[in-house]
Amino acid sequence: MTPRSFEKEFLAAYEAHADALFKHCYFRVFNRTLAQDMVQEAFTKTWKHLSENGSIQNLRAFLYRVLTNIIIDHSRKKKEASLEELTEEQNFAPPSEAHKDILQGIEAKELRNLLNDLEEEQREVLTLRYLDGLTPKEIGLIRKETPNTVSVRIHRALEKLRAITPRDL
Amino acid sequence: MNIKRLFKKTKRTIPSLTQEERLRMRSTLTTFMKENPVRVDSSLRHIEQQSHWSIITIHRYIKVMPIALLIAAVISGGTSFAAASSLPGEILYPVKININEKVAAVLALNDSAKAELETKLAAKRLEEAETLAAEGRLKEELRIELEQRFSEHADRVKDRIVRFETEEKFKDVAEIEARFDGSLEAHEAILARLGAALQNADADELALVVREKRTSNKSGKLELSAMMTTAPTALEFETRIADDSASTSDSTVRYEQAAQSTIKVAENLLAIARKYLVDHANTLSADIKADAEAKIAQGEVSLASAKTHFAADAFAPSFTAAKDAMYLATQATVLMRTSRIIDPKIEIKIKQRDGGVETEIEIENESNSSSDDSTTRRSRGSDDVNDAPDDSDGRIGDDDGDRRGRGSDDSQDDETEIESETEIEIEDGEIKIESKGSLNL
Repeated sequence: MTPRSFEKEFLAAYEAHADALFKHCYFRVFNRTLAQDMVQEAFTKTWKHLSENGSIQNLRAFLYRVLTNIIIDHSRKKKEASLEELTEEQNFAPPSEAHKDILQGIEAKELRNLLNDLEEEQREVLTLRYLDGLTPKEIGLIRKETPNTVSVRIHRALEKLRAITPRDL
Repeated sequence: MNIKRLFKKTKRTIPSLTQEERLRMRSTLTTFMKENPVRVDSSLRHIEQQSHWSIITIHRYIKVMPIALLIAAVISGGTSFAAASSLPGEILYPVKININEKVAAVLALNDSAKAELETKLAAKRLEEAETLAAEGRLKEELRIELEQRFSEHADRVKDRIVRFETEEKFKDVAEIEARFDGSLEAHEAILARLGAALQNADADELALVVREKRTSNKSGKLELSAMMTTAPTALEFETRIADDSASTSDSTVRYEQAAQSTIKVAENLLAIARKYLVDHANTLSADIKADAEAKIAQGEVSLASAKTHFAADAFAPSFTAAKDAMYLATQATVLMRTSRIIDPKIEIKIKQRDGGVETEIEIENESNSSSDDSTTRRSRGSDDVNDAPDDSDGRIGDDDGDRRGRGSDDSQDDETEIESETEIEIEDGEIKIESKGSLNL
């Protein structure tokens, strides 16, 4: 593969996945600017790897992997953070003032609140599975686990969630 | 499940990247990409298109490759032995580049050994191109790859030459330069010839590149007044010395040293060329033999003249003549090497024995001449898996019976030896390969 086609393929991947990655990231950090930075970092790290080591078999999985690692690193640094901090919106400027838009993200926050009692890893697999719509096999590629392990993880996360979810939801 | 529905709803409400944000990020990204350009070899193929072999990752492909083929690839002595004669575009070529040549690089301990190695590798790339061209397989892709690698090696040689000059190691300069240029000159001619004969534009193109990389552009005779390059080279230095030959005894001594060692090297190279001619008389065409013989004879004349000059303390002309001799000897050797055809035969015997499988692999590197060049390697592997494939008695190639011998690799002076042992074990669907080798240079 020539350097030129490396670049082409990489930028095509950017166009295809940047938004989905951003959404995933936003759902986990709830901060627009931060999410953008993280996604950017994921892309630049991936490019570094591509330019030094040659082609990557599954670019999408690689990108997710890099991103989730960045998120995990970040959450470790913020381990002491309180619940409010995690759900507080920073630097969020809604695109418009319409009633609908104000609600935008609120359902997400509600869901996020629900998921807060889970471990970061469990949040991750649930997000990958139900927000990004990835199959256990793909998630396995991202997390370097067997699809089986992934399924078990998802199942356990759901169980825990069931246990802590209030009845009226 | 509520969660799933919640996620679905949420998905719609999580903000997307705005057009502006996306474009902004993209431009930051492209800037980053420009600052960190692709540094990987353009020869690396996308994994989905072609397998990339290396001895470390071999076990991952066990499910894809039939065992017999896999074992054939890991021939006793390790993959690296079989890779030695591989060409660009072939499966084992990356092993040759990344393992064999890296090993050789590690073993080159001093600067002049490294310079010699780079010269050899540059020549190797050209030989590969010539072989491909001769087989009608030299396509643009491969040519570009070889050109790139060749350029890198050639540039490194030239860097070293410059470095030697600044360190005032004039003996080394002369030696390296003569070998390098002599080799390139021969290859340039071969490639041009091949290009013309086979109507192969890529060979022509490569010949031009080779020409460009040479340190001097003469056609065989050293002329002290010829200064073609802009960067200082050994050639310029010699000219300077010749001009003020009546000056310090210091430069005379240097010239004497240069002449002396060049004479020695020329002697060696001529002897090697002679021996090669004799050893491979049966596999060389009459044309080539005549050509080589002529060059060697000419070289011997030059050498004699060099010695005469030396005895008369005329070190500058002695040096010149000795260099001539070196050039000619190198050209003759290169000419002979590249015109020989080596046709390895690989024989694989797989026998079933008591629930295990024993495999024997022999490579014959056939040439009709002396036994120095024939090679047989043996490998045993035992397969502990019960349902081993029953490929008993599959044979490839002629059954010439058992033959053991020491192998020599494709080195320039036929003095390199590689000895090794390989053990292959198959457990739980994973192949473990242990290969022990020693390389004697």
